Amino acid sequence: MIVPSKHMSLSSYKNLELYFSEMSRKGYLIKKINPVYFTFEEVDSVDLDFSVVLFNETTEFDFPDKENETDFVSMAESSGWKKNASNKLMMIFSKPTSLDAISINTDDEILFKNIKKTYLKSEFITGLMFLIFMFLISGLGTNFNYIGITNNTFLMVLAIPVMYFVIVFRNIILRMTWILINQNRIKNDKQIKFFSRRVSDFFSICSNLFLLTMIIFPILSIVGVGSLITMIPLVTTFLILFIFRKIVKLKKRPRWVNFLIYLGLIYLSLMLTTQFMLSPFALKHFGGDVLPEPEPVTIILSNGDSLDYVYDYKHSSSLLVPVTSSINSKDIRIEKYSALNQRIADFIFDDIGVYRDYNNENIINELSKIDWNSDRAKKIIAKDSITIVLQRSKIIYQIYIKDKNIMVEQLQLIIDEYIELFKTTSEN
Amino acid sequence: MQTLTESMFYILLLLHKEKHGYQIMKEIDMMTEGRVKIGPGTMYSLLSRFEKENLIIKVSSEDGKKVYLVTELGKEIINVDFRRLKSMVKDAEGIL
Repeated sequence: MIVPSKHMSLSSYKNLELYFSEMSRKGYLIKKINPVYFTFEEVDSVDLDFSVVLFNETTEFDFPDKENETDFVSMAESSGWKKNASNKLMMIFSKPTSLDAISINTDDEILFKNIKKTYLKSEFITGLMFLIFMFLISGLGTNFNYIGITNNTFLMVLAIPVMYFVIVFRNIILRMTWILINQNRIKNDKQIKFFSRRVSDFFSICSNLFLLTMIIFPILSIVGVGSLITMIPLVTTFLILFIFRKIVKLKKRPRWVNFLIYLGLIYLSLMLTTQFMLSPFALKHFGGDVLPEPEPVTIILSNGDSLDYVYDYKHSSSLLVPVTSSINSKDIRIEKYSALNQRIADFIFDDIGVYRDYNNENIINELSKIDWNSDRAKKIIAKDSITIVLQRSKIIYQIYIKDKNIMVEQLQLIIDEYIELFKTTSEN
Repeated sequence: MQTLTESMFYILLLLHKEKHGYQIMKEIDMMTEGRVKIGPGTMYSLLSRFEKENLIIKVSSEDGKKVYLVTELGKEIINVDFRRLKSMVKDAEGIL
């Protein structure tokens, strides 16, 4: 029988002893443990006492020490305990209730030091590894500006502060608080106090709800199912840790070599993650469009002139700005952002001209929305270019004009012709 | 190293001869007539700590069981503690 795992944290793992005893009385003997689920074997109902022991002699960067493990298990088994299951952090021992065997831990102070040491070697160091990864990944994302939100990597940045908080809260603040409380108890000759089953369940439900509330729900509600792409860095992180642990177990190497391997894996995964998030596959499966090849076009304008231009597409955010396309000719370049909703379109409009791709000396003038047949319009006069920005509902046009001396009326006509090209090409 | 606890004292004392963890547990139990009992988890933690602090040394391994022996430093530590305990007993005998 497989059931979801529980009480696996250092501050509540002792609750497992009672739980496994109850299960063995019901005819289920613990066989395998891991952070996600427990596997029970069906047996005849039996009265067993359990002892859950933390056994973590090495850090993530060390080759597992089998000699110490064998030595300890042999000592416990000679004392009447039988090993039922284990993972990287814990060992589960049992003995018939009727057998008078000595407890595995007979000194609370030593037990506490062991928990503290295990915490520093496991959850704390894993938390730090996560933070390093998240920090590096956040460096890939762009700032909170209009360029950022038209790029998928920005979505990672969106989720990272929440992940930071979850890791720091769960792996550091909560555990440290428990350690400090018990350090004080030990000093005063009191017994270690573990979180009760109820408190442990409460924390577990709270943290899951927190994750749902802080990450999944708002992103889903704002930008839809495609937001699940924000989970990719998290999935990658778990994958890296998994691969890294396998590599560490393969061969005994100095700690610093394993650390370098870890950094190498991070670098590799960052590259792969970025490539994946910008790939046509991700754009397609997370709600975006596959990018067509640039399309050279020649048309005859209403005044009889012919115009050569390239109708181009570029990688865009699969969520916030699903479609970004551009028209390039020798006189003009128009970027068209089709935002997911009005708020995102408003943000893009406000941010263009403020962001650093314009020099600081640019002048932003508001333009008449009636004259420009738009909801909002503005002109950015930079040192060597003019940019007109138009917002029409959820669509933003950013128009770079290479000829600064062009007349306004002439400009309006040209822009209208060009904007019409987007529609024509889309229909085609 | 702080003052030795009872468990620490007996482990270092018994490791004047080569022994593995379970042997030490049994001998302490017998020697103290059950007054001092050390579980395997506690024994393992103390042996690891002593080994790191060079108070004991692993001399061999038999069927996965590590066999230890006290070092010169370990002997010095237990002798200091022994003298401390002796003077405490002497002081107490003068009064009680």
